[in-house]
Amino acid sequence: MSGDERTVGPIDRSSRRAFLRLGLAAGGGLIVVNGAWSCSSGDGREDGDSAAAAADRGVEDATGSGSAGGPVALNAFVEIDGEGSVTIVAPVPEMGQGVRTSLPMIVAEELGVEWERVTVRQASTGVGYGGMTAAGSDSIVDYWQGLRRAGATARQMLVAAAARRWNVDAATCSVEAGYVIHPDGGRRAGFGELVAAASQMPMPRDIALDDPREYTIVGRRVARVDAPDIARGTARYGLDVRLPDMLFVVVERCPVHGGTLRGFEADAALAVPGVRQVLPVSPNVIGGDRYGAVRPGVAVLADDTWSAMQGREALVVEWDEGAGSAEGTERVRLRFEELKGRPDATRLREDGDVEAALSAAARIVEAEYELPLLAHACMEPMNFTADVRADGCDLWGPTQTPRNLQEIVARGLRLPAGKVNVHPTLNGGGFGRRLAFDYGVEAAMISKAAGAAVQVIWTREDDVRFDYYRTPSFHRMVAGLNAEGVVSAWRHHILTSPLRVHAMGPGADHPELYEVQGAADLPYRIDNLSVEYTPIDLALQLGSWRSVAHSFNVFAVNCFVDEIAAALDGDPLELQLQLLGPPEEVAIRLPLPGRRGRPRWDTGRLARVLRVVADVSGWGRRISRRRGMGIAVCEYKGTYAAHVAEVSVSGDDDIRVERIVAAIDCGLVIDPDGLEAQVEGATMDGVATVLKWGVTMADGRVRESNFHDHDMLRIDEAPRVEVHVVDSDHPPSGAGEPPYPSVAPAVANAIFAATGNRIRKLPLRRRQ
Amino acid sequence: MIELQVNGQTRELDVDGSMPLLWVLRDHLGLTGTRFGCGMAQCGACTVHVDGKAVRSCVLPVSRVVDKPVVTIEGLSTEGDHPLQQAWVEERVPQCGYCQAGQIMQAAILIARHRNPTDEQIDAAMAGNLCRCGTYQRIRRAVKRAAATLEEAR
Repeated sequence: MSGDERTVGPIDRSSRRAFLRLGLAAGGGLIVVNGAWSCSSGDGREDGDSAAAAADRGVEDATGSGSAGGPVALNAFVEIDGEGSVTIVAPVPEMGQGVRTSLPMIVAEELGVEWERVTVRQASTGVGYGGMTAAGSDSIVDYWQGLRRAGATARQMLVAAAARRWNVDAATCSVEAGYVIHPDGGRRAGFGELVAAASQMPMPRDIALDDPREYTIVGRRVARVDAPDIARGTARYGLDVRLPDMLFVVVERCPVHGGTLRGFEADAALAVPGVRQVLPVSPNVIGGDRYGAVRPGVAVLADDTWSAMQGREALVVEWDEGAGSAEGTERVRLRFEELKGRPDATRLREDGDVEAALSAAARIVEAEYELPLLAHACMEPMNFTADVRADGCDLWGPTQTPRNLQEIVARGLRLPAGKVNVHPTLNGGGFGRRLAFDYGVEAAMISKAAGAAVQVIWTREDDVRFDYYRTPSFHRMVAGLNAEGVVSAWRHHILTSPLRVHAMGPGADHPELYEVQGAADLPYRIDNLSVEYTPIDLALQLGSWRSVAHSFNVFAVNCFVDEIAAALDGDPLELQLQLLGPPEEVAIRLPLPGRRGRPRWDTGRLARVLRVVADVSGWGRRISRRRGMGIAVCEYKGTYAAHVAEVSVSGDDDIRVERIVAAIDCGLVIDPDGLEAQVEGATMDGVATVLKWGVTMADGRVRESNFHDHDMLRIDEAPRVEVHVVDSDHPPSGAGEPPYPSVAPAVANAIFAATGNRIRKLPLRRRQ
Repeated sequence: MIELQVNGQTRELDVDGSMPLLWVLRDHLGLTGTRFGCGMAQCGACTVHVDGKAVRSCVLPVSRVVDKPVVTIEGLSTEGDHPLQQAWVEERVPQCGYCQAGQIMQAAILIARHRNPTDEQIDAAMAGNLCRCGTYQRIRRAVKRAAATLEEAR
């Protein structure tokens, strides 16, 4: 979910009602739960700024003050000291996607400085940094122009300062590796000696950007900015934040979604050495934003993490679990069975007459696919450090969305947003989990209630059981083939529990908004095509997961194309290319607001990644028995990716993914090594999706809790991955999510090729 | 009082002997390079060396390491230039990086034993160390690069 499309739903007052009931119900030896936090009123949230505009505003706002020799800011993103060392501010949090390397590369390029002289600093929430959100593979796209301008503006100010010093026309000066070069070619002045004067120059109105074809930093293989610190153990994640007199906190939370705290006994916990306080945590949904929802719980504050954990073990807590305790994986399955194929589904797309085409079809192909609930399992469990004072608040930790956290905490504390400062640390993984900021709001609440700086640590069990899960999904697919073997009809019925409702509450309009991408927007040349959607209820908090709807729809679509190809006794690559037709720009209209209502495709780019991946992988060559190859393709926000997987099967259908070839076209490449790393990682994620990923529910609880029962891909299961980046003169587009969705269907199709068994339900190694 | 030998230094501290070494390192000795991932020896993010062996510090009571030399990622080399640390930068292994200190500590024992490890040996030795970002292919490359560097130095 990207910042620019977030709106606010109705204010949730249920938490206040729950609090009042709780106050009346509690008694006896139980501690009455107090509202540590009041439910604020108000609605409407500022739309995220466009980054380009924000970058310009940052430029305007920069005062350029600084002492002699010390760092001088030329705008929000560029600081230079007297020695010519350059600090570039990274506006988007780093979670492994490489933005602390790739975004500053863009600034350094236009600034005209050697990359080796650049230090990167992470932006805290403040003026001029744009949306600051790591979401939707949008960072490069959102910041590309703004950061070019930030670098170019600073360069032009340095040139203007040099031109004035030399009394020459600025247009006759040039810039090379941190120096402005005099028009005579002999003299030069370093950025360090120019920066003080440059900061007094007027803001250039006409900004001249370099031609990307001339770029020397962008497109180069550089070291990753954080790699040395990571390898030495000195990189700082959220859990590494240390404040004076900070207390370490773990929280016992209600195991069932929607449940409430009845009461608790704290004596035994308080008797644990090192435990300082035990506090109730009131549930809260500030401003109706469920991505910041705080769950009811009991917090144990201690001198160190282990003591807090021991204290939590000693707590006695009573919950009112509520209706959510009946929820479970089996009930979800029953809902799918009941609702699939029903005629009252929402029609998202209806080209031609699918009913008539199916009736007239020579053959019908049908399949159903089911994908599970997914947890994110970031290696660094959720955590945040908060220091709430009467006059303001500072928050440190891993987040993909510091500004949303800032805004909601400010509302909760009734402070101006400027008094709440969020300082993003490195994120030990994100994958969409840290677009929710529940754990940050929770830490702020506890800090306020305790009157102390706190670090709230989620154990792995907390992390697995209180995630913002990817929805389970069900896909019923029917295709009609005419007598010539042409796909004449395609029907796809998607069932999920909609993210938009889970984020905004039951009043959310367009519940299908984040559920149908990669399915309703298909560019296939099929005359009669229908895509339908039905929402299901699910008493569990759902959220964003790498590529959102593409994560399930692209699986169903590519597996089904493979099934149709098999029914035609044809080649799935040939069928894909046939369905795409000749290269063209396709614009599709869907009844959805914003850009999701007008998806655009370049079928030529899609076909090209398919051909590249087929060529490189040796698609169609004969391979040994009990081995198979599968192919799949995906478009995601203007990036095109395709995968060929090769699997082997041994013994009793023991599947091994041997090799995966990926091809990607994401336009101009900023950081080629980082791009390859993203594709490799997304590919491993896709293999895990087929083999392992997924959680189950019973009695309202997520059953898995740690890596013993929610395992991830291990190195001895990791295939060889080959990444081929397609040359492209298109502007840059994202790469964090796009290379993920086509992996799992490529693997599933390869398993079919090797075994003859269709994989219609994930994961393969399901918990019984 | 418990006396520990950590990264070549003697450290005295007042903690309960049942506290896992991980939390002693992180919360009492300021050595936060050793990471918390699971708390039950399933992921390897907390890997350190005790007596020259790779162990999971999240399940190891501190009382068990008294009088035994403990080495953490901060103590693997004096200048942060162990061949593995260099190889991790050169092969650009880390994505989010959270698991990588544990990976490096595990790999250090592997290349001390195997001068020229094969993929199979690497996979066998490293299968207890999870990486959610999926950097496994680069881990294999970096381990081989570091082993080759060590071999040249011999």
